[in-house]
Amino acid sequence: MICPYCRRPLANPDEPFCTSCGGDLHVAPPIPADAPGSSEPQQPGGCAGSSDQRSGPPWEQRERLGFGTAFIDTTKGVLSEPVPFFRSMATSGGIGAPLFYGVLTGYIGLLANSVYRLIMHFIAGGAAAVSGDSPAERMMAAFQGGFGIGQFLIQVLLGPLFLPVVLFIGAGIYHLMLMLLGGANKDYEATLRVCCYSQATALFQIVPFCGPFVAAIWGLVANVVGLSEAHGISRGKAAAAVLIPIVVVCCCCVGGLLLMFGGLAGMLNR
Amino acid sequence: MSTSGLALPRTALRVEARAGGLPLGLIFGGSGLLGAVLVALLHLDHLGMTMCALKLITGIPCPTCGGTRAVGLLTRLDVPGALAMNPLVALGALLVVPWFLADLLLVFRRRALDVSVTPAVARLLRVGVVAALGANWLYLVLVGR
Repeated sequence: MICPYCRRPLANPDEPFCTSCGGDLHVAPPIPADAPGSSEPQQPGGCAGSSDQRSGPPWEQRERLGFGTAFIDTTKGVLSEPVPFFRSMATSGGIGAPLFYGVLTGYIGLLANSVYRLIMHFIAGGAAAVSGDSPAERMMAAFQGGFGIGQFLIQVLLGPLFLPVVLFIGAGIYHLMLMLLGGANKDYEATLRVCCYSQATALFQIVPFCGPFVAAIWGLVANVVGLSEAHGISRGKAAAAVLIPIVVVCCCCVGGLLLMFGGLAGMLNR
Repeated sequence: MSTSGLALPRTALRVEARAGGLPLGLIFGGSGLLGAVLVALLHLDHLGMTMCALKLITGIPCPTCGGTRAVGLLTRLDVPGALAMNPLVALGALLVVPWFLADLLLVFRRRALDVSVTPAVARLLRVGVVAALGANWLYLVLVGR
């Protein structure tokens, strides 16, 4: 049997997707190898139902390129040329490699951020600049003075465990929004892949002070571009899928960010 | 195509055990389970302060307010209490349980539960989900979560 999209032989016709091009074999079933037209020249990196040239990003070819080169090329692609990167990103083919990349880059960012917060904790002496009885003041005080060695160790040790969970849940929220907006043209895996590779922006957290905020904003931009290119939808629809949960559903997270800003400002004022 | 399991009429809803599919029930159920364990162990549902900026600034709860407390109540098997705290979060968590168990059984056969619907049903579901989110938020505002 061969793939109806890229016309490469299928190792296992029971698989739902072509392992070469990611074509959905539910939509168009495999065709026998001796069928008319089956000997047409192969289309490298063909894609389901379109003429896209979708191949795996450099990270998914790291056995050939080498770990370091694949990591640098993938990161460079996401950060400097997100449109061609996500346009050429395969939207299926397994979640292991993208998840590995997302957790790796996310953990590097988390580690850098944790170290800076610990340094700030020692500079500020662990004391909160804001005190008071109102919930807002208590929360501000907790954010300012509540990051000690214990929290640092918890974050560093449990980070690799929680980062995949954050990626899965984040991609789940985006995919649900895409479904509600009628833009989920590809499977959840495509959304998860975008979220994982967009984690390249977490590396900005290596830059102290402004790094986390640049990472957050650049991450949103990368997600919008990635979802738009992966699902073949407009930038507006992708932006809606990314921003609506932040504005409406996850204002708790926005509150956390605002309080971090407040905490930082409070520390600098002392 | 190799699929098996419950197959409802193709025109409305199809539930199948898809070979090589992503076990999303296992992923989301596992994540939820981890979250529930943390809520129960760290008593995150009894913080004594709100983490919601919208509620802090305006006094109006956001659509997810009460979600952590609902999960906390579910870990103590208080289903009515969880439904009263945040109906949508509680229902969502309860729906994930059978999905998680089904995927847990199927994963050893390298299959995953897959649900597909027709475009008409998808449109209806979209309207239903948006209406449910709105109704849930209205309920949270009225009861003052």
